Amino acid sequence: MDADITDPSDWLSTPLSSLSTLDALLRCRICRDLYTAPMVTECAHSFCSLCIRKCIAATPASEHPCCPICRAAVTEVKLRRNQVVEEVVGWFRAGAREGLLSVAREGGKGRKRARVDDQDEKRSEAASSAAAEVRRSTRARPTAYVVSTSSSTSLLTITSSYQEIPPSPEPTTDGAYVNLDDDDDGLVPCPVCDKRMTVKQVTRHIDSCLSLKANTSSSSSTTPSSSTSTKPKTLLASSSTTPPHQKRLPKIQYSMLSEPKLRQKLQDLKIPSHGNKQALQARHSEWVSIWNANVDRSVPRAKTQLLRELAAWEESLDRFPAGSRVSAEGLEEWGVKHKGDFRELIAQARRNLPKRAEAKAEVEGEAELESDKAAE
Amino acid sequence: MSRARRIAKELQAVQDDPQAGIDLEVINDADISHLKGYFDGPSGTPYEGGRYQVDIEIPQDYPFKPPKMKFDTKVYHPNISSQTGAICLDILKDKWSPVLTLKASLISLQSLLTTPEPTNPQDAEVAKHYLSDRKGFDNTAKYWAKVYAGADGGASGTAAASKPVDVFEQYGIDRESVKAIENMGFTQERIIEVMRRTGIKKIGPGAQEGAEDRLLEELLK
Repeated sequence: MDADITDPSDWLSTPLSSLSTLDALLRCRICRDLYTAPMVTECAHSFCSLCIRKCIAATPASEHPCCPICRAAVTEVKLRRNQVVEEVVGWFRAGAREGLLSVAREGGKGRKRARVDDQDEKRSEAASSAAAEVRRSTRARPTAYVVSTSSSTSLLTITSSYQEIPPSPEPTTDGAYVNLDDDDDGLVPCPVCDKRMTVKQVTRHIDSCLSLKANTSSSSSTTPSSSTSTKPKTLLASSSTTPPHQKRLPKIQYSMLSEPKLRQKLQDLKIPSHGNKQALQARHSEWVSIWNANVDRSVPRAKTQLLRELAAWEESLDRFPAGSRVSAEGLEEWGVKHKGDFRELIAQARRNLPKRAEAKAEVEGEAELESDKAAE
Repeated sequence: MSRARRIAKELQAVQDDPQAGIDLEVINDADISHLKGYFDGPSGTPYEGGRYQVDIEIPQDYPFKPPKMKFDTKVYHPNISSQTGAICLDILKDKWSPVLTLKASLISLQSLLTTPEPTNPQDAEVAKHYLSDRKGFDNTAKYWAKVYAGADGGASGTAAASKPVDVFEQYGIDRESVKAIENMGFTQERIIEVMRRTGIKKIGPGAQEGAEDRLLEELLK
């Protein structure tokens, strides 16, 4: 699983460290992953559809749901798709990220082999001390609302690199900077097709190369990333012809519904309908979030996949039983688990009994036990 | 699962930033829902130099529900229970937001140590001490930091449990006052027990009016 966890910090060790900012900006602040079906709130913050819907569903009924970033009131029906961000993330995820990262890492190696440039040393020193400064200041802040450390660090790195790199034939991108130090012919291979070209050409070439690859191999592709690659054309087509069954599900006022009626609702939706009312309610709420988030996708997934997601959620519930959901079996288990504690408390009470001059009954013993606990 | 992915990322982020002085560690590799967090006592406070351990339990619906945190290290602070380590902090309760992280929460705990909120206490006795006798409170807090959190080269963690503890420093109880009452024929143990129960720290000049009478009344019960 570790291999597919990507992070903005992946860029920091490469010469393209400024891309860390872009990488961070394309991530949902809730799940810290690249946006999936990004939705924009009334207060103009974006989140994955599933993340913000789950967040709203998790808000107690007595409170008004609010934006996780600015705490402005949010309403589920007022969420709107953030189409441009979705397309950019689609492009980034489909291979551009991987491609650029491998180019950047290659470039980093090339740079190390090249002669040591005094100015370069100074620059990186300045950048790292600036980074340290940022960290220190983050630490001192009283509340947690701080700009992500990694993005501010890389911003500093960019500005300092602009000031101090000597003029070069291609001074506008960090990519050009890689080019300066690359050995041999000064060319690098495209990570997709292995054709050799200048770095500046690669950054442009990589898009066309990837979309070409996605076009030719979409039917026989093996990796999930290339099969879900988003081409602007398909995006347009699918969003304009949404199938009629992809309608959003309404929220239910569960307190108004009896258990059999709720069970019937779940059966109508063709999702598992076992368990007590609490379980039914939790499952229905989760399903509504999963379903509606799927409708927000430009390329919705099949219902079987959604059902698998629901099953995974249910399984995780069993694996991490929360303290608040103590069932009859749970109580028994709890008793077994804490048997030692109970025994110790009883022994403690017995030890304390003779101390009291007028130790009368068990009731007294219990009182003693309580005052003992308080004293501790 | 997005929950597991996010926790993994948070662990990584803490590792990538050693300057923050914050550590997270998984107790059992098979169960990422139970962690221990560590941070340094903020400088310029009685907690300076101490290292604090926090027990973190991550609920199933994290990050939509806040992580459950309590101090493992004993802390003398108005918003932290001196007995159980329970914490009174809004972002760990109703002001939680899913964009907050474990690291952010630990940083918030660190700043809670800097700025106590005695008007909304978790430990009423400690809060009373803080409001009535700030200097005495600071001394006790400093002593606890030394004994339990390893400040000033004191013992840390479990080693502290075996070390003899100065009960006067520990509870912020005035040594002279106890001596005065001991002369009346009560045992030190009993006096301290009653003083802790009643929240009386000292008697005589500078103490609350009627403190001595109340204390004696309790002792004679």
